[in-house]
Amino acid sequence: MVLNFERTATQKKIHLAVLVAVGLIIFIFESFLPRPFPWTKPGLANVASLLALYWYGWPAALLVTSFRVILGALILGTIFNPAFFLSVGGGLSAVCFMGITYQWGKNHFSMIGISVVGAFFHNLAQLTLAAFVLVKQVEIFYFMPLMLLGSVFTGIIVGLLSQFITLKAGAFQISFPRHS
Amino acid sequence: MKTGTFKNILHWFTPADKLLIFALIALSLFSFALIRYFTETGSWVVIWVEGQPFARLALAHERLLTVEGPLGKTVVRIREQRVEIQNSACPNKICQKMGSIQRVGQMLVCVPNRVVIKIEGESKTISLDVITE
Repeated sequence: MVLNFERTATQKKIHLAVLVAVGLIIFIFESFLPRPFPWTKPGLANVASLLALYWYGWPAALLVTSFRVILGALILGTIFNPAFFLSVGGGLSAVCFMGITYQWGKNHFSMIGISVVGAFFHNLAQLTLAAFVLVKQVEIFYFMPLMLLGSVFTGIIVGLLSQFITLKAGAFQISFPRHS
Repeated sequence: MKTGTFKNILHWFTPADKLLIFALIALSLFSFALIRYFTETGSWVVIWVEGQPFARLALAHERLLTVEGPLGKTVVRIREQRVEIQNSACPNKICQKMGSIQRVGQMLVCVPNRVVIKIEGESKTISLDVITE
């Protein structure tokens, strides 16, 4: 029997709530992980935004990301400090560009490509915010090559994970309708 | 699905994915080369403590300097035309992990102990708005 998740309003609300919750858990655990470089983290919570984008389109992804960033900051106690604004800016720009890429190139890119685009613009927005608004040191852009390279690798990992989750959902005969 | 999930993991990448990843890696290597091309090795090390200029040292002169910040001692080392924070009294040691620097405009920052180390060029300050004049 194929379990087909219809997109009724209630089911949509439940799915998005679960995605917010799962993203939040990943986000909080990730903040406790030791980091090889001070300002980097894998960004695995973006799996939740990516799945929301694929299941319900960009407004849902925007919703999931905003809730995760704001609730995560409230729980970790980092709300309204500089890192919070970097987090908001990065998250919003990642979702916007993932949404644009999805609308424009969903026949060409897999989840991996979309997720790499998201990671790239996440880092670019954070660097730009840090350079022109928070630290006001243009020299921050010295970190750009390293952050670009890092975003490609974390983007691939997040994309592979999302693809894996989608495949596994298929194996359990759960099919989520793809948003078009 | 049972055994082959990760076997054909490369097939998960579409051609457009591969092109995008290749382009971004190329872009990052290119920007790295660009930054190296347009910056020069500095001549002076300027150390700020608690927002006040503390010392201005020649990068060519190898030495070990101890700076006293609000949390304690920060040990700055100049060696082989590079500057690094060798030891610091701050809790996270992020400044020690920042490595060593040598190019004009690069900075080492220890936020908890309020120590900022900046590399300057031969003229007093080379910043982007000076060049555009």
